[in-house]
Amino acid sequence: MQSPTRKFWHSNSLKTGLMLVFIGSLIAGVLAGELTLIRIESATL
Amino acid sequence: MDIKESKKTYATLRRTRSPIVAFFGLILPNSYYPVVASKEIYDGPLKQTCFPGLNCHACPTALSACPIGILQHFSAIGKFPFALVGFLGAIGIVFGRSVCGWLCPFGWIQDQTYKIKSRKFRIHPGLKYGKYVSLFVLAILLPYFVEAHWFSRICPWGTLSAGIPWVIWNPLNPADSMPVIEPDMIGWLYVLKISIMIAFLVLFVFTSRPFCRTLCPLGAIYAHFNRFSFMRLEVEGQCVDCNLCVDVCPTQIRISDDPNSPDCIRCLNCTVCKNVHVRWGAPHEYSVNEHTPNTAKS
Repeated sequence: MQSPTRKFWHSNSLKTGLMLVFIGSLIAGVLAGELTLIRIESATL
Repeated sequence: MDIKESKKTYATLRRTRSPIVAFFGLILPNSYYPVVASKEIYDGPLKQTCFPGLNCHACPTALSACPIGILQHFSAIGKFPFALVGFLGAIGIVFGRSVCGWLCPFGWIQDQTYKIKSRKFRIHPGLKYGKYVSLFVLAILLPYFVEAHWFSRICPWGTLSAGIPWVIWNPLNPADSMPVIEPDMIGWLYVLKISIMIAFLVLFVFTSRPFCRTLCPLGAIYAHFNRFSFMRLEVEGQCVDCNLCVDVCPTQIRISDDPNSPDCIRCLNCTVCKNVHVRWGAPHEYSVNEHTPNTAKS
């Protein structure tokens, strides 16, 4: 039998929640114009 | 899928991993060939995106940005990289550390170099913490406080794919007709980065994936996603302690002890054991592996 803590770390709810947080962060960064900053840095030798 | 069929799939995956990494990790992200005529690195829309593996964006043929280069840039300008964290996190939560095994061009170089016949050595387990020092000190704190990209300055993959090609080629910049690399740019720092690169290249022959295990900040970021990513490894059935998994593992993990170890690069070499399987999503309540060593021997 799994402990509740172990069950939590392996649960699909946690994985899905984190996935949504990361996708939200990605969208927030794109909307904040971070892609331009990435381009300026990566296109400079 | 029955066991026989899944074993066949794993065998195909193991066989095709090297060409997959070579094409999707090394050739495709570094295919800006017009640089030969333009003599300038690519600055088109793809440079707004990050490659998920370690791939220097200063490489003459690079098409996208390096995540660690971008992390250092955001540290240096004092901004939190929401897009980068979201991008790496989303990949990590689905695939764990698979990028290290299936997309990283520098990992591929290490795998190929390790095939050279020689006496092989193991890395001291304590050295694996070096990658966290590399992440927090070289890629975050130093850029934040001194505004210099210290990891990029010593990155052996950056030296190999960008530092050396630019110095050897050194074309005239079309904008000002001056050499791209001026003589005063090659000083003690260049000697240091070349020395680090040579040291690692030599080390690659004698030990497996030393850079990934001891210094790679991107590996440090992906590592702990193995614990709760959708993609998991499971060891089903009883481990007979044959050590087959340790022998084939590039990071020398005993997969039966910890199938979701942060050091596992998900290369799937250990699926050569009939008990090791890839599983997706949360484990079934009763299917989480609890290592049950064969006590009959002891």
